[in-house]
Amino acid sequence: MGIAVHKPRHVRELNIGIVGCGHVVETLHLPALVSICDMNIKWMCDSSIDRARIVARTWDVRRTFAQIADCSDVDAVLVATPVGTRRRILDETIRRGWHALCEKPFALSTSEHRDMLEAAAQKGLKLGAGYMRRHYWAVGRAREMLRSKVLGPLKEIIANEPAHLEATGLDQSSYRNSAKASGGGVLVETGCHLLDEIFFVSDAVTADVRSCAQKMWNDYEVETAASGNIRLNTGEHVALQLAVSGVRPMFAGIAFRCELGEIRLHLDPAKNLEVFLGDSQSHRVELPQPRPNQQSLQYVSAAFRSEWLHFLEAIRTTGEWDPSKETGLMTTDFITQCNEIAKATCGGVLG
Amino acid sequence: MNAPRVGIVGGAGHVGSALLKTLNTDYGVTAFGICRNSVSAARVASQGMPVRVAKTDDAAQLAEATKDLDILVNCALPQYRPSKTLIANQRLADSLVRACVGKHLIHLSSVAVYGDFIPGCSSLFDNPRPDTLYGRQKLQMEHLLRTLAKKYYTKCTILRVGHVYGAELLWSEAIFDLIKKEGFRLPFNGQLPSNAVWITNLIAGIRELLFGEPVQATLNVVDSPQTTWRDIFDLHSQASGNCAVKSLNQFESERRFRERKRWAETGMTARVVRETLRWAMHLPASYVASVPTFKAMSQWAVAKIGSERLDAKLWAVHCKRFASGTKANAAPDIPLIFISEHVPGPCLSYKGNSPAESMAALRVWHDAISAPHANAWRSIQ
Repeated sequence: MGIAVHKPRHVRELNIGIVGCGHVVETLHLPALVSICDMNIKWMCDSSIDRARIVARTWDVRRTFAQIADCSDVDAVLVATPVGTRRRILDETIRRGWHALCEKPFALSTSEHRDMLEAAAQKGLKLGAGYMRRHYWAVGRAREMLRSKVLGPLKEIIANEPAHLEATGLDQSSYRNSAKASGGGVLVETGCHLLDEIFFVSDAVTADVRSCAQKMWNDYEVETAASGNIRLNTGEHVALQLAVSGVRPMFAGIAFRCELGEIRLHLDPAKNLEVFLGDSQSHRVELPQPRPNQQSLQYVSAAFRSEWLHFLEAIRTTGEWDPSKETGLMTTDFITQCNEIAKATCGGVLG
Repeated sequence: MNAPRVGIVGGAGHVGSALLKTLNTDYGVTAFGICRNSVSAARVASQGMPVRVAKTDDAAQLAEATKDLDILVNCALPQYRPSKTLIANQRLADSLVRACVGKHLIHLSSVAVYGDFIPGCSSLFDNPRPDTLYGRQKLQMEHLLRTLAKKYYTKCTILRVGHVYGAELLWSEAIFDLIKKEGFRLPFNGQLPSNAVWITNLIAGIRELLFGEPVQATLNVVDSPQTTWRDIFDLHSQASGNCAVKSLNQFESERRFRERKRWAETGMTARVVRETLRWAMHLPASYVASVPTFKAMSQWAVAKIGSERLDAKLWAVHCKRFASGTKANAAPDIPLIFISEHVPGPCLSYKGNSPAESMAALRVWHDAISAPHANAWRSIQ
């Protein structure tokens, strides 16, 4: 049951290919894509051809492939394979002249990220990364408030993201058991979303890590704590304190502390945006969702759909497209800095 | 008796990790977390707890990893789509029972096997009627373990654990959220038995089993003495610095209770007929997923058939509902557990503590999760 969208006659239908048929593709990308007009999913590609066939049959996609080299030409692809396996796939998509929307995180290191952006730019291709939290209503609202300086200039950002100890559903065959394939831990897997939200909402231009500590077990990073500085597009500098943990209970959200109050952005899209006024933060105002009482997954689904509309629109038009912002280059760079500092600092790596 | 050496399968989960920590630190028991993947193992190990990684659905590997242990406590439940769950449950049950031959297996099931609403009739203990996928999977696991334990002469104690609350647990988080919701009212002023268990009490109960003679039985585990919802909500209100939750009026409480009780007592055939009619009246807008009994039956059928393709189709229907963005849920309702009666059948007997003692831990946890802390990153260092 999709949203009824009338198809304007002048819009060219885009052909899309999907590389990787995992849970997120089946649960979020495909429902979003089939609800959008003017595009056609041509094929699905997965190293497990059986998996690709099951998903393709369910969503009425005719062709399946096990190798990307065998796939027919399309306008754009969704690359939803583990970050550690993505370089080879993106090299191929760029070589064949396909635009690509990548699942987050975009790359394992700043240099890898830059290389891919340069390769795509040479061919005039558009690359995007799946930082769909940018499309949450509360994120957009917080950004507007900071831009308007209704609470005065931004002074400090404190961001925490815990991970619930819930069933992982993973056995030993999952790519997440491999630090190399998954990127290495919670900072890359969930922290990248948190960082992207910070940079997106605050309109950051650069970010530097001052100090960082990581707790590791067998190459897998369980917790990261970092402090740093970000420079906004207005030239102001703002302190940033970040903690991402796979085990520790903590507030799940970002506090943007301004001169006259604080904006509290929750990571759960179903929660309202909170604003605290005054030094003592005694006055609390809640900005309610425009569509209240939905489940979190409904907001997440809507964000995926919005992300796709944004990306497809960018492919069709020749308008402004800043690949470093769209793919979260600052986020990758911040994570790279964190990992380097934690490794280099004596005692920075715990556990 | 010497302290037994215990393996906790699913030691990275909510209950498993609390059990692992408390047994090792407070009860002088050497307990190991048994995890099936490196991600979970990393979480356990990073908290300083001993951990072993093993394929929990491989009998030989699990037996090898736990050969020096006396007791296994299973907190894990494989949760996949219905088409895969039966096979996953069978493998896990088989490997748990075979790894525990000559040992003691304690399996943590759930009161969810009785359904969301527990009507309190005694026959329900032997013939539970779960109405959620989770409850059905738990019940399926119980059946498998009982059959296999008989076959391999393994002592297996099945605990139907009540709604577990306490610091860092999902039920407490849900209660904190409900307390903050303006429209939320507690039916019957919260005076009904909660069928809930404070995590410390659950661990105390399990400890009695660890140090006692292995029993082949199925037992409920709730707070001892039994707590009411009012006790639990007041505890959470105080810990979070909120006012006590208001009561739902008596008329409305009774209306909901009667309606639910009548529904629970209706046979499956009558339910199917009634809901088919309701479904037909809503055509063409409705579909299978919108009818709870149909949904339950289709999940059951898919689990029986084991068809991954059919499973994927059902999942697609479910996901399309969310993607369409057109269906907003009605205002949050009162969960059925708040109008349930006491769990049927025997309960585990243990010396429980008053949940009021959990106030300090709840308060610390609530403070940690309810506001950002500038020094959160320093505490990691």
